[in-house]
Amino acid sequence: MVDVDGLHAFESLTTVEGGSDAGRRARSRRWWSALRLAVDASKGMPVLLRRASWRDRVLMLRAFVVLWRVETYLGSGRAAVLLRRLRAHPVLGRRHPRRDEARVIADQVVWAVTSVSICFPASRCLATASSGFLLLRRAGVDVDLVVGATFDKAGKLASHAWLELDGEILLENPMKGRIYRPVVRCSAASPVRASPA
Amino acid sequence: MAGVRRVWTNSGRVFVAISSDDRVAERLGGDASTIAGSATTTFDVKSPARAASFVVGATCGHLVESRGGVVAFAGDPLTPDVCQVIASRLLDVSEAEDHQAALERSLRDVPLDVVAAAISNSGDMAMLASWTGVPPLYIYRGRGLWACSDDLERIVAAIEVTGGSLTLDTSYVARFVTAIAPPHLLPELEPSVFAEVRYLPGGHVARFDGTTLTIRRYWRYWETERAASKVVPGRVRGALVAAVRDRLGGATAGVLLSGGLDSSCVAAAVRLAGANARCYNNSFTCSPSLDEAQYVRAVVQHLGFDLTEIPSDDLWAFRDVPDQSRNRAPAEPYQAWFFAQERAVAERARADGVDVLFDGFGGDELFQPELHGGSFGLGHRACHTDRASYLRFMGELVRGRHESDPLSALQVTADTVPVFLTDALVEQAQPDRYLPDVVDAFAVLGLDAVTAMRVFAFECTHYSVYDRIWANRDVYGPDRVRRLQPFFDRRVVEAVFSAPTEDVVHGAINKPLLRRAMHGTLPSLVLQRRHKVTFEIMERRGIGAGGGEVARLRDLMQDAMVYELGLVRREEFLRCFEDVYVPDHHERIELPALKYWIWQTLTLEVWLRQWSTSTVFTPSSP
Repeated sequence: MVDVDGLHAFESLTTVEGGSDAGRRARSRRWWSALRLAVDASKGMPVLLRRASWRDRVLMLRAFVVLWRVETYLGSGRAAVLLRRLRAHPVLGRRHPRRDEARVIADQVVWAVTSVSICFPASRCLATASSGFLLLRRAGVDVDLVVGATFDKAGKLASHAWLELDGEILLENPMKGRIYRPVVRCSAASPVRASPA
Repeated sequence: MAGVRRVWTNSGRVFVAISSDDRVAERLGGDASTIAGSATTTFDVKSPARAASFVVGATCGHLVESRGGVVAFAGDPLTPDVCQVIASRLLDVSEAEDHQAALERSLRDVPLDVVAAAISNSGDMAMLASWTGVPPLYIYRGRGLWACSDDLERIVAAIEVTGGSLTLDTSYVARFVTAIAPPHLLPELEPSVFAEVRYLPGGHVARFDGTTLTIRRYWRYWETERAASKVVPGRVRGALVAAVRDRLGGATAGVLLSGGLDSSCVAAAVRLAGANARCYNNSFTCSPSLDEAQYVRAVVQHLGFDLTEIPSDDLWAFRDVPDQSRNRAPAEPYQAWFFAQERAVAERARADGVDVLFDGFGGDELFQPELHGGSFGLGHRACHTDRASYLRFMGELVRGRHESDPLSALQVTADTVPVFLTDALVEQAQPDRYLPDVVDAFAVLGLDAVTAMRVFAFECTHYSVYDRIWANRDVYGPDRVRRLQPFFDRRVVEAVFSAPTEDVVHGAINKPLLRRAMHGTLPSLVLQRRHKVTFEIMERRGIGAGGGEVARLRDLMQDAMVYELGLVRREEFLRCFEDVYVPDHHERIELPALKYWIWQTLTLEVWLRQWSTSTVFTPSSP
């Protein structure tokens, strides 16, 4: 099953890195790796989709497609490219939901992404937060993606990624914002653009 | 057993005692009002075997005399006919299997929460615990005195009158601080904070013949016959509505409504029961993350209830703990996080004339067998398995196949014991024995692996029994408001356990059975809600740097009794306290159990200080 909306969300993320042989081989390796990831990850989806309502299935399938694409970026070491693309992604829709509506949408989106992340064994906070960011922006919610860092008690660098709506940490321990100092923030950078027909 | 037998019941409380010591018996008889409270009435139990035997009780409708003896009931109100039937079963001392079966059958006519204590004419004592342990039943065994009551303070009063004493049970303290909840599964008495007092777990009946105590379980809810998937949601809904309706009885009802799924379902059940209710909500404006107003208002609008929002920004964690307005120490050290919020609701409910206040407590234990994304929750102590194993296991469950043993996959995290406990106390806590002991108990009960997982979630992962006891005794009881949890009703529990496991667990959706059962009774906004609010902000406001309580608590723990008694190491505790509750230090968020251990230690210290002036209690070291 192909989720067209989910793929639309990634139109701007697809890049062509030159026409050299090395570039073509790199792209080929990445696509094979992405395909293997999709096949492996999809084996867990029947467990999640079984006995779920159609509405919940659609939510989870959309989240799966987006998370898969984000994981392919992170798995191929292109986190910086991903973040640039995220920063450039506009908030879609002619009408922005009110704050309480936005929180309800965020509740559903974050749930869907978190649920399907179990299918990706290496999935971490940056992947789930990035996926939630894209899906919420697609739904017209002006959400920010924040990556923060801190040093733990042993002196090791630790990082975390989360979503913020109007400065509020979404659906996470609000103390995270005090523990991790924000170092990267993806905010609305582009004008609002209507949804594709 | 010779001597005086006394049965008191006063305003729904029960107290039963047997004494073999004439002097103890005389003191017991001479101070009835001190022990049982005011407005007691004397009843006589005729026994040709006894030189002097009498019963003191109050005419509150809960005392039953039969040819075999006297039985006192406490808890939800019963009809006289039902009381007589249960009384005759309890007073029958036969151990025959058919008698036990008859007792269980008669109890099934009593779906409500009742405890009973009986003295037969032959001098035997019988004790009936409630279905799920609330109201509680405590048993005291001291020199020359056996006493049983649903009110621990009555037992303490009897000990004071008869010159007895109480000591600290350090093994209980060890498990209390490490927040290990006993499983309430096996037919044995459970410890309390006092070494001489035990607790009869829910679903059990006990009998004492003067020398031997025998305990049997009368409720094995996990043996409920499995029903077809399509009928279970209706059965659950019907049971929940009945649980509410049978407890209303013309009382003025309230609902503690948080906006979450569980409390919203209880509110819907109140409406389906044909009753009106006022909903109470602790509202917060200090942080958007705590704002659930849209869910709360959606529920009350849909159900047509009135709503009282209680501003609670200043009712942070540990506020008013200890409760300075009380002139006596709480009976047990347990305290939930937000005593001040609960008190605000209780006072407001009382002012509105509310008699019974329903809440959604128990929804997590019953409908959500602690499986979340690869980790099996052990309360606040997560036990992880790898994601592949989790998915494989979930795949089996949702297809109705039960090949794996989920509990065998549990790997209890290494940090199961606070570093600030002394070695002596760690030895008594035996945290590495907790899970094996639970697994052994399941084997004794003959549970298959998946049923064991569901029972584990219901019985072993939360402090729900202590929380319910504490709420009614120390928080709502002073205002004579009964706080009730319909999810712990016998019929609701059995309805849920009649569901096939694949209806109860889901890889992505929590509480799928509850959502299906209440479909159409609540706004979809609430039924589809996925996330719960967490209260770290309110914890921080109370016990973070600059928080209202941290200076007081730091002073409290400088020269604490827990150090003097050899329970806790001072330097390690103070360091952990600063680490967890002061944000300038690195928060140990990778060890969330630590904040609970600190909390338990703080409440224990508060309790010890309040009891240190008691004439009957002697704190002891391990």
